[in-house]
Amino acid sequence: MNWPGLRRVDKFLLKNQLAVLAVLAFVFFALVSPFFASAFNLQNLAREGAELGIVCVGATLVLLLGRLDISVGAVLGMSALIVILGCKAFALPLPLLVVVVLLFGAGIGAINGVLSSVVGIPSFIATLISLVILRGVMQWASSTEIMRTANSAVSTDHVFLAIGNGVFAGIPTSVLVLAVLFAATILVLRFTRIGTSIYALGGNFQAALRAGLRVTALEIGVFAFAGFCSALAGIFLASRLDSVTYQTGQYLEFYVLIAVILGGTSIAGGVGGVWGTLLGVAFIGILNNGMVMLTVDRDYQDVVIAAFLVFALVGDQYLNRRGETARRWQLADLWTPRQAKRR
Amino acid sequence: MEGLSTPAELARAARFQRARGARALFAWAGRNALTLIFLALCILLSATLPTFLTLGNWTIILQSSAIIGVMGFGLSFVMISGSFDLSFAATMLLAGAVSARIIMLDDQATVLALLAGPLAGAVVGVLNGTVVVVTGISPLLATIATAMLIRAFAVLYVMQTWMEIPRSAASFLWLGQGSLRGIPISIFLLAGVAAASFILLNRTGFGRMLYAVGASPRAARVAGLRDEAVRIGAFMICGACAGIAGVINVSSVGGLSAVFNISYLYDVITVVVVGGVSFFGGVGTVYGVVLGLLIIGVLKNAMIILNTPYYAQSMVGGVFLLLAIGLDSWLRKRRAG
Amino acid sequence: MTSAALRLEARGITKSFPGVRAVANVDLALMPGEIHALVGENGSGKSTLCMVFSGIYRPDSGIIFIDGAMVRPENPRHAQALGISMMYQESNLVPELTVAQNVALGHDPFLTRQAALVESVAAILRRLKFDVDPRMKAATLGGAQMQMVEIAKALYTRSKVIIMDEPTAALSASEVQRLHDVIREIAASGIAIIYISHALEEALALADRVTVLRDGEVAACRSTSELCREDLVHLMVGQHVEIVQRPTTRAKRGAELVRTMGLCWRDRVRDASFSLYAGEIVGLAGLIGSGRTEVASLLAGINRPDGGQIFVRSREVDLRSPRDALGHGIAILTENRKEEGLFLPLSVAHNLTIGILSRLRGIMGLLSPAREREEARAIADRLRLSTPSLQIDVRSLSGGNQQKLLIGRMLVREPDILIFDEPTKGVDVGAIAEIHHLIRELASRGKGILVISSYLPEIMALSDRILVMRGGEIVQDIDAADASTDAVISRAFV
Repeated sequence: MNWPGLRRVDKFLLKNQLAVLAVLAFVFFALVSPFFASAFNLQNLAREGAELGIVCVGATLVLLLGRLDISVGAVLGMSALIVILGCKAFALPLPLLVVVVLLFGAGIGAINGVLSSVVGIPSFIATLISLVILRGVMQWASSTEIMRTANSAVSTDHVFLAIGNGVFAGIPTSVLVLAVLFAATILVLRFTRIGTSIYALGGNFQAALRAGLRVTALEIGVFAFAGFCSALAGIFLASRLDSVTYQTGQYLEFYVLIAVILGGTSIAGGVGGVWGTLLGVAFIGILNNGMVMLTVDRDYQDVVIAAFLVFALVGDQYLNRRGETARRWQLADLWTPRQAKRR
Repeated sequence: MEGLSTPAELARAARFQRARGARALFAWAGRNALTLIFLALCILLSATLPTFLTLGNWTIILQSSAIIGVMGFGLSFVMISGSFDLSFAATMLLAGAVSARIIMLDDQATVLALLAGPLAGAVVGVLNGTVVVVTGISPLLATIATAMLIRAFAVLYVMQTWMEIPRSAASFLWLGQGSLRGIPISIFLLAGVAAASFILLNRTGFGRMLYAVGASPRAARVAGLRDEAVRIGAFMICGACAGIAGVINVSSVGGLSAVFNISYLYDVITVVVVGGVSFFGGVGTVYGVVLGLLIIGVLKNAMIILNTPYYAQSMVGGVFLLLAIGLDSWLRKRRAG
Repeated sequence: MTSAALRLEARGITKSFPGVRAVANVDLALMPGEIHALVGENGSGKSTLCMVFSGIYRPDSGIIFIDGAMVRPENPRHAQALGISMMYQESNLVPELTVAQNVALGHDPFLTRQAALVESVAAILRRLKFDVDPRMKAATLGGAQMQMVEIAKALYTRSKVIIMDEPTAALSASEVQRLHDVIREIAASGIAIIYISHALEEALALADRVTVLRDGEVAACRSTSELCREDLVHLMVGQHVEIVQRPTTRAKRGAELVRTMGLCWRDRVRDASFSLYAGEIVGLAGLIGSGRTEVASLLAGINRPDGGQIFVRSREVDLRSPRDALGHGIAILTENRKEEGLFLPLSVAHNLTIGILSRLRGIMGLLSPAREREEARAIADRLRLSTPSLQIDVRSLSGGNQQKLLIGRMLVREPDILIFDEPTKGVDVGAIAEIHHLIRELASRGKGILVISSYLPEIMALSDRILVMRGGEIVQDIDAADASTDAVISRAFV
């Protein structure tokens, strides 16, 4: 018996696997957990997802270049820490604080970019160093008296709280900001020379060089943007949780990686985009929230996440037909296998 | 239009073959840079810190380096073969937990407990290696994932909420806490692993093939070498070393906790990279790793003596790692033309 | 001829690198619309010269004029702005971007106007009679189509001079014809073209004039109607190289070692069938891209055939890896020794002994350094490998010595069937003769040898029998004694 529409539905499902997965996960958790579909949790989910999404937008661009940034979590944590300290311990004016933090994130990112493009350090190591240094500072700062008092005091600054917890026309502020950021990124990627250059750099480095693209500036800029995004998300997180620990943002980089790779951006660079990342974020956000709602053991959560990471990597490998350790770029992140072209 | 006769390459060949005089001196210094740095550090520190050159201090340096060093040797096997392994810290945890469980069940089963750790590590290493080599996924990301899995497995199935080695397991505890003629056992173990690594790398066919596979996996395959088996073997050794480190850790601390310590990952990578093992594969020596270990150990020791705060320590370590890798990458860029 | 009338004029271009003079005092003059072939052996300086034009290198001395105005290209981007663009050998396209984006890469305005871009690129493509939607991704294109896109790139930047580096390397015969038509078409509009190629007949057929470079200097610059292929070869090679002359007596042919039937692999090899006998040297000739290296890779176990059979000593075998092949006695010297042959960061001794590790065992089964030194020295001496020490980096050996090293490694396991793919590529003259001598000697000892070379005189001199490949098939199988260069060449082309 051949229902003609069945074929079409099947094709649609195949093409939009990730969206289907996300929907399925949502439905699953809604059915299984009584609290999942509550308005409160959904709002929470939206906010968490927005924060993750903001970081992922920046990370997507880094991956498109063929690089890796594992310092995003540390930058987010550090930014949150600066915000909490500045607002609750030193009562600095909020607008100034925001600007400083965003500049800080961009600055760390720019340093990563310089290390990766000018000095030629593999981006994994460069960002690993940033991560360790920032985490070190966070550990020290979180152990001081100032931090303890700042964390325990409840914030009275309404504006500050509104950032992370506020609603604008019914939609959480962080979601709105994500939407704006997302739209801006899409516009840049599709309609400007910068976007084309990013894809070119990631897709064929030699071609980009020969076409005269400003390779170094582009790489530094993309890393700086990723740092900016992490800092932005950090502000939202700080406001929402109203406190910070030295573990804030830990392991974020894994979630970010999974979301971006599942969303179709390849770790080899040059392939993918932010649309897919959005779906990836939705899926990972739902998955994460759902598992917490089901009070799944932290370690089982790790297993699920790790499994998905492997799945995403194998899928990326298969889709992009990479071989094993093949030709290596001179500047590149050598962890990504690339196809050696046989003549 | 390819071949060695392109001008840049002929020039390089000419350059190599003409090293004499000042060039030779530079070349010698470059080759022995690590030793020189180490000696310079020691001289500097012994001049400025009174307690530096004492036997007690050096015992502390070596002892605290034992775990890092053992894992460093293991990691260098994998790196020389052209891959990478970020899961060794998790493997260390698992192996330590297995070992601890056994000794807690029977506090006289020392030999079994001591062997079970490295064995578990080796098994994990084989699994790791198989995943990386067979699927061809980026080893970095793959081992991040396996690290999470290993750790979860350790916490869920092997560890208990409170793990403490009973006092009665004297021989087990002797390994990490005991000493022979004033030198802690763990230092002997470190030396043993170093010696074994040296023999494996330089005096066995496996070691030769490891370097070849790391230098050029394609050439290795064309030459008929079993590159996949060699690479999986490297992972197995790394896992076994992590297992040994785990046993030393459990034995010296007397217990185990599930807290994931990123500093291990970081320190081992720093030691290995400073020691001259290249990410690109095919390059690295045991002697280099030993020197890297000593240099980092001495640095840390100095910082502890000087009472530098924790975050500053990681920053100094970070700067060193940066310098080491920066130099390696920059030299590579220059060599590539 | 006044300078102003010339599209491109170069006088006295010299470029040296430490220890090597790549280009010496080269003059070149192109009229508008001229197709000028640039030929020469490996290392003759053609690519360096073109890289000077395209701004990758700065010349040590010499001047360049474009349409009478003196120019100094500082970098590739600047050269493009001056009107010089270069089509490289390896793919210069970004797979994920569209054809239009690739064509305009680096020259698009900040805000891309999709429609305008597509339209202008489409206009160029129409001019080239290249029927492809500019909105398609470059990844979907085939080799010949990619070349078209590269040409479109050059046209988009309004180039006055286009340098093409081996543009037909991966093309089929009909695609080559199409490309030539297109080249003639754009030349007719006034663009000057420098055409670098190893396919000498092709170059002669297409170009108006040809410059032959030898050791960095201009050996000749003539109109193509005055020359034939042999003249070119003679000019390229000069008096220096002696190809070992074929011995008048032929070695006796022994048993059949290898037979292939109907081998096919992807679309590179279609129905390749031939036999190889002990004691003979079979030369595999054909244009680049005809599938010779691929056939060799199938025999050596590097790739697995999609169809067809291989028989070794009359028994059918399934070669799944080079290890398998070595087990059957088949060894290969690949054409890119840096990627598939040498272990670059390792020492000479290490490279030499990697195949015979079991022989180096000493006490307790561990390798003995003394034994390694002995064995390595033995192999090196047998091949007359000249190196100050066996412990130095293999990178510092000359091309000839590197090849000899790889041959030595090949031989340690005493294979019966040897495949040499471009054995003298990038090898200095003295070593070429030694390698040829070695190959001869191996044949006389009863090995079956397959030699692949793009240099026809080498094939003619070495082989007892010649197989000509074209488009993935073996189209001719003749005794070398009966073959003439022309016959072989003509079979290699359509």
